[in-house]
Amino acid sequence: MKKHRGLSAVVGAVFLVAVVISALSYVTYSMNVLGNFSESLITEEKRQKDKQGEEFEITSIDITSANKLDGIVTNTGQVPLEIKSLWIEEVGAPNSVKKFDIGKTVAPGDQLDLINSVNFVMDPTKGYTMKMVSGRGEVQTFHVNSVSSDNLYLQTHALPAVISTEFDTVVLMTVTNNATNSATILNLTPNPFPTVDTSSCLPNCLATYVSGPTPSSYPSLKSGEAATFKWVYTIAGKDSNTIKFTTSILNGITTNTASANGEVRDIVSALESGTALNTLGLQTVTGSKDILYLHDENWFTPNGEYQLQTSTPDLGGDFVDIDNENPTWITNNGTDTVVLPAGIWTASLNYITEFLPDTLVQSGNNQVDMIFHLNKNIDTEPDSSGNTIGLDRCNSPSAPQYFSSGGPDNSPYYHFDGSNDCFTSNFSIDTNTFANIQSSPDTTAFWFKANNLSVNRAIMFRVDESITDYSKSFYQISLGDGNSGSVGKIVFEFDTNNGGSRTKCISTARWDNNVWHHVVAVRNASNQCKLYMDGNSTPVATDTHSYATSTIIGKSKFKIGYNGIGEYFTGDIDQIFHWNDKALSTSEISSLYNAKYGDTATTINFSIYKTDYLGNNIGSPIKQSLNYPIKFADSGKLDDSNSYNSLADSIWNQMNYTTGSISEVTLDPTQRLNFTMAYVSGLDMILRHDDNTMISPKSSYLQTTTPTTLFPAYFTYDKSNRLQVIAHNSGPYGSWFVYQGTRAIFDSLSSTTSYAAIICSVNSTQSDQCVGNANNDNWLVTENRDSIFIPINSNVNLYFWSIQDRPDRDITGGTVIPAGNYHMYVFIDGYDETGKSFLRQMDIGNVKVVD
Amino acid sequence: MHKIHLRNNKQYSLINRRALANVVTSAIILSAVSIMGVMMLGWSNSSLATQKQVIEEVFSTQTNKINEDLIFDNVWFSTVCPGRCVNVTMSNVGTLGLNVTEMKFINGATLAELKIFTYNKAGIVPSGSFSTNATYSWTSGDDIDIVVFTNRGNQFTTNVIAP
Repeated sequence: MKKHRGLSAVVGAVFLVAVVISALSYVTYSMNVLGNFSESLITEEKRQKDKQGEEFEITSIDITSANKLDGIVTNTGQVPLEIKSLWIEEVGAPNSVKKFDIGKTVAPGDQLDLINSVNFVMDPTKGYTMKMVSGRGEVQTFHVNSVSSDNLYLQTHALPAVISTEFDTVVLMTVTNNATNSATILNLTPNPFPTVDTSSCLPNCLATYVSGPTPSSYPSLKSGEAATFKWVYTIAGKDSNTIKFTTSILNGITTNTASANGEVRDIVSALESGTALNTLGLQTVTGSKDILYLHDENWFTPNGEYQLQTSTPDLGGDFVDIDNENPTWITNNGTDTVVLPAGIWTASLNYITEFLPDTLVQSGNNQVDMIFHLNKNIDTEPDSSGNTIGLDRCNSPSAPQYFSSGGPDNSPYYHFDGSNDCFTSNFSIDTNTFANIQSSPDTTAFWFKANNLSVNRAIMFRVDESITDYSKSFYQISLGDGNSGSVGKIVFEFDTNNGGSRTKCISTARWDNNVWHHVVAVRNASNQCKLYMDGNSTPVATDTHSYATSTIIGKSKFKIGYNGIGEYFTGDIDQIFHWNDKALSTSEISSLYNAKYGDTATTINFSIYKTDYLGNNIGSPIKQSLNYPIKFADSGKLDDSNSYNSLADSIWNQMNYTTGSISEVTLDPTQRLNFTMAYVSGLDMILRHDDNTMISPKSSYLQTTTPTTLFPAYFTYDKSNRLQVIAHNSGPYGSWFVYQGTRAIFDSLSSTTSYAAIICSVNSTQSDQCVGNANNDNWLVTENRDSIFIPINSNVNLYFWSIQDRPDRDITGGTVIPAGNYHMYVFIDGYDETGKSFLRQMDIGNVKVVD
Repeated sequence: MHKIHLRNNKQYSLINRRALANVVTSAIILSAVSIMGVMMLGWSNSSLATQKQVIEEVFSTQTNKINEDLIFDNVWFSTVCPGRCVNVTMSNVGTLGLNVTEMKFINGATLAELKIFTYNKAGIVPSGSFSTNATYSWTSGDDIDIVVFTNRGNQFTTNVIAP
C-alpha cells in the first residue's frame, strides 16, 4: 500500500504540474494580450495627441498681378504638419470645385508659400471658399473675398446721426465674424459704396460721397473678430429729411445688409451758410483737361502702375521697355464723377524700336557692324549702327530712286536702274574696322528684288581693294557670276589672296522672279562660304574651299549695286546688315529674316479699362486693340538700356494710336482709368514718357474726349515752396475766409505725428505769398483782416504758412513737416454774403511731400 | 492439527487474496485518477484555447476599431454629375487600411433615411482618399447628415447643408 500510495502521489504530481503549466501559459498569454492592447492604446493615444498638437493658420492670402492665388500657411502647432490638399470653390458656382494635392511637410514655426504649390487663377472680383486638409485630418475652411453662405453680424451707424446740411457724416459698418463654421474670412472687402436711399426726402436731399471705404479691405478676420469700415458723405437737404445708408459685404449674401439713417438738420435760425466750396486740390502744372500724360512715377497707384494724369511731365523723361514691363498707367480716384463724352481717343506715343531681335543684340566682335535701312531718301543714307558715316548716292539726287513704301514689310527701299545707280561708302575699307574683307568670319544680309535679268552679272554688294577689275582681293554678292549660264542665280564669292583662287557659292536656281528675297551670305572663320535664302536653315549654296589671305593693298570703298567697272544691278535693295567678325548661325539667320523693319516691326495689345479704386478692371474694356502694328522707328545707334535715356528728344519717333469711336464713359468717384500696353511680338519697343523737355511732339499722352470734370491728380507738394490750395466757390453765395480757423492739415500715413499750416493769403501775386509788406496787404489774411471776397463760380488760390507740428506764422518753434506721404485736408472757416457762417472740411486726398 | 493446517491454509489463502485485491484496487484507483486527470487536462486545454481565441478576436476587433479613423475632406453639391449629386471625398487618417461598406444620407431635421449607398470596392489605404459621386436630388437648404460605415463596424458622420 505504501508503494501504491507513492505511485499515486507521482501521478497526482504529474497532473498538478500539467495543470500549473497550463494555468501559467494562460496567464502569460493573457498578459501578452494585455500588453499588446496597451501598446495599441498608447499608439492611438500618441496619434490623437499629435492630432491635437497640430495647428496651422492661413496667415495671408494674396492675388498676384497675374491673378494667381498666393498665400502663406504657417505651422503654429507643436508637431510637423503635412499640408495634404486644398479645395477651392467659387462662391455661387458649385460645379467649379477644384482640388489641389499639395503633399508638403512644414516644420513647426515654418511657413508654406502657396504660390509654389497651387497653380490657380483667381478672379479678384469673385468670392472663393477654400478648405485646407492636413495629413492628420485637420480641416480648415476659410473664405477669400467672400463671406460664406452664412449671414454675418453687420451693424451700421451714421456718425453723427443728425447732420447739419452741407456737413459730413461718417457711415460706419462693423462686421463680426460669427459664422457658425468658425472659418476665417480673408480679404474681407465691403461693397465700395453703400446704397444711399433719399426717396423719403422732400423735396429732395443729397448725400455726396467724399471718401471710403477705409480701410478698403481687411486681410484676415478670424472667428469672433470684428472689422470696421467707414465712408464719409456730405449731406444736404431740408430739415428732418432722412437718408438711409445700407452697407454690405462684397460677394456676401444679398440679404446680409445693415442700414443706418442720417437725419438732415437745417437750422434756419442759425447762421450757417449753404455756400458750396470745393477743392480743386494742390497747385499742379496742369495741361489740357483731356490730355492725360503718361508719368513715370508710381506712388499712390494701387499696384505699382505708372501714374496717368493731366499734370504736365515733371521729369527729364524715362524709358519703358514694353516687352519687359507690359506697362499700365492709371489715373487717381477722387471725389467727383468724371464723364467723358462719346468720341475718339488717341494715344500719342514717343518711341524707338530696338535695332535687332534680342538674340542678335550681342557685344564685342559679335555685335553687328553696319546697318543700312535705306529709309531716309537723302544723299547720304546713314549707318544705323552709328559705326560709319553712311552711304552716298552715286548720282544724286535721284539715282538710285527712293520709294517710301513697298519694300519688305512695306518699308521704304531704293530702286537701281541698271545703268548708273549705286551707293558707295563714305569711308575707305582699309581704314575701317567695320568692313574689312581681309579677315573672316563675316556675314552680309539684305533684301533684294529683281525681275528676269538678262545680264550675266548684276552686282548687289561689293567690297574690294581695287576698282579696276577682279585681279585683286574682293568680297561680292551678285545675281549671276559673269557666265551666261548663271543669269539670275545668287552668287557669293570672295578673293582674299590678291587675285588668286576664289571661294564661290552659287545657287542652282534663279532668284530674279520679281519677289522680295532675303539673302544671308556667310563667310566662316576658315574662309568657306554658305548662302542662305529667305530664312531657311538649309543653304542654297556652299563652298568648302579655303584659301589664304594676303594684305589689302590700296584704299577703296564698298559699293551697293555696282562693281566699279561698269556692271550695275537692275532691281530693288533694302535693309543691308553686315557683321565684320561674326558668322551668323542658322537660328540667328531665321531671327533676322523674321525681324520686320517696316509697318509691323512690333505688335502690341492696347487696352483701356475702367477700374475700381484698387485697380481691378471693371467689366469689359472701354477699348481694346489686339495685335496693333507699330511701325519701325530707328534710333540711329546701337542702343541699350544704358543709353536710351541719353537719346536726344528728336530721335524719338512719334505715333498715334487711335481708338475709333468710344461711347460715353462715366467714372464714378472711386473709379480709375487704366491704359495698358502689352507686348505681343516683333522687335522691342522702347517708349519715352514723362519728359518735360519734349515740346513737339509732347511727351507721351492719352487724349480722351473733354471730360466734364478734371481728372483727379496725384498730388505732390514741394515743401520748399508755399503751400497753394485751389478752391472753387460754386455758389449760391459769394464768401470770405477768416484767419482764425482756416487750416491745411497733413495726417501722416506712416507716423503718429501730424502737421498743419495756417492760411496766410488768398490770391497773392507776390513771389512770397506770405510776406508781410505793403504790396501783399491786399491779399493777406490775418487776425485783423479777412480774405478778399470770393465771387460765385470763381477759383481762388489759398496760400499757407509753413507746415509744422505746431502751426504758426513762421515764428520760432515748431518742427517743419518732413518729406513723406500724408493724407491732406483743408478746413475753411468763413461766412457768406447773406451773413451766414460756414465751416468746411475738404478732403484733398493723399499727398506726397518732397524736399 | 489439520484444522490448524486448514486454518493456516485458509489464512494463507486469505492473505494471498488480500494482496490481489490491493493490486486491483490500486490499478483501479490509478486508472481512475489517470482517466480523470487526462480528462481534466483535456478539458482545461480546450477551455483555455477557446478563451484564447475569444480574447484574440476581442483584442483584434477592438484594437483595429480604435485605430480606424476617417475624415471628410470635402463634400460638395454638383448639378452636373450627371444630374444632381453630392460628391463626398473622405480620407483615411488612421493607421490601418479600412473598407467603406455603406454611406447613408439622413435628413438632419427628421432623421429619416434619405438614401443608402453600398460599396464593395471602397478600400482606403492609410493616408489614402476615396471620392464618390452620390446621386441624390438635393434641393437648396437641405440639411443632410452623411453617415459612413466601415466593415469593422465604425461609423463616421458629418453634416452638410445644400447651397
